[in-house]
Amino acid sequence: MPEAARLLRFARRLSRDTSSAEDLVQETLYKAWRSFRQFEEGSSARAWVFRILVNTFYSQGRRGAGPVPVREPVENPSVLERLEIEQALGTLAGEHRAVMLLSVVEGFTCREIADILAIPIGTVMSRISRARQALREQLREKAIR
Amino acid sequence: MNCREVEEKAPLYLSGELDASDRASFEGHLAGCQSCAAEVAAAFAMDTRVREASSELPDASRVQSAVRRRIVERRRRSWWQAAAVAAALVAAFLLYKPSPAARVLTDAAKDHAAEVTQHQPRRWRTSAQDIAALAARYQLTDLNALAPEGYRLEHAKMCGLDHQPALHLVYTNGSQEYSVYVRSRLWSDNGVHASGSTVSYQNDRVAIIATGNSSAECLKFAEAAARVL
Repeated sequence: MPEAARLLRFARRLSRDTSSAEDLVQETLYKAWRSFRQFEEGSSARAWVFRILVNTFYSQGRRGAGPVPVREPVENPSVLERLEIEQALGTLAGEHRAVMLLSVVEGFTCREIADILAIPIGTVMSRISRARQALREQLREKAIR
Repeated sequence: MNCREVEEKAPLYLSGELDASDRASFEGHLAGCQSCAAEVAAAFAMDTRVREASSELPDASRVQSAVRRRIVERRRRSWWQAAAVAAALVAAFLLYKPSPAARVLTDAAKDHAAEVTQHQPRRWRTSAQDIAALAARYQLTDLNALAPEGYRLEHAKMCGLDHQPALHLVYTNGSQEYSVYVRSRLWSDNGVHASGSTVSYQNDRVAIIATGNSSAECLKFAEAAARVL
């Protein structure tokens, strides 16, 4: 299960909750194991598993719109940078956060993201653009403060 | 490409999905447009920040162990379910025993198929005297009355149905042949029983089993037997 760690990274940020993210990944991998016959050879296995995760997440009625975690001040610059990015990602709308993470962090193409989220590629492109814009504004605000 | 198209296609450019000619056109615009070039550079820089800040992978060993446990449990359950179904089938196969009466009806249908439909050589009795002698064993005197209207007795002989002797009478209406077997009682209750195209009737003394091509015709034989017996 080499994808488990990547799935967990994505699930944590999608659901914004560590323990429910673990349940989500567990359910995803179990479903993938049970429905492996439905996987179409030639398509991306990674995209297929991520699609199962996204479907499972939304079928559970979750939207990942929990509160943005407030953290104690941190001195280490790399940790600080990571927390800042994480907080900025946390302010994005769920659908914008999902495309941003799938594209930039997980390295999926716009076409693969369209397949994972079952939305048109044009919607993926506009969501990525809006997510980038919103992130830049968030990080700029933090820099000014 | 103009500024609007560049803004629209930036996600495809940054994910490396533009084909060679679109990429050349995109980069051609950036070379001459400082504003778009700055936007794309800022987007690229921010993607890099997000990617680097997210490069660390969490420990998924707990999740992996939980999934393995579920898979092992599921396999074990599937194995037990398959074993239970197999055991039930074996038990059903070993314990299934058709009732003696049902066996007689099956035997009658098989006997009719072999001796009448396929005409396997048998020593049939054709003389009225011989047949009457056989019928006397079952206290039957009027064998024509055992058949519905339009049928006549063709020939007869003794045979065995489920290891019990039976009188096999063959009737014809000119185009179809029907077998009527007379035998000791089959069922605990009197009346008509049917199985496929085989119909039986019995009273307190004997059972009549009619079999042939049509279950409706066989029923007519059973009704005739009910009138006579």
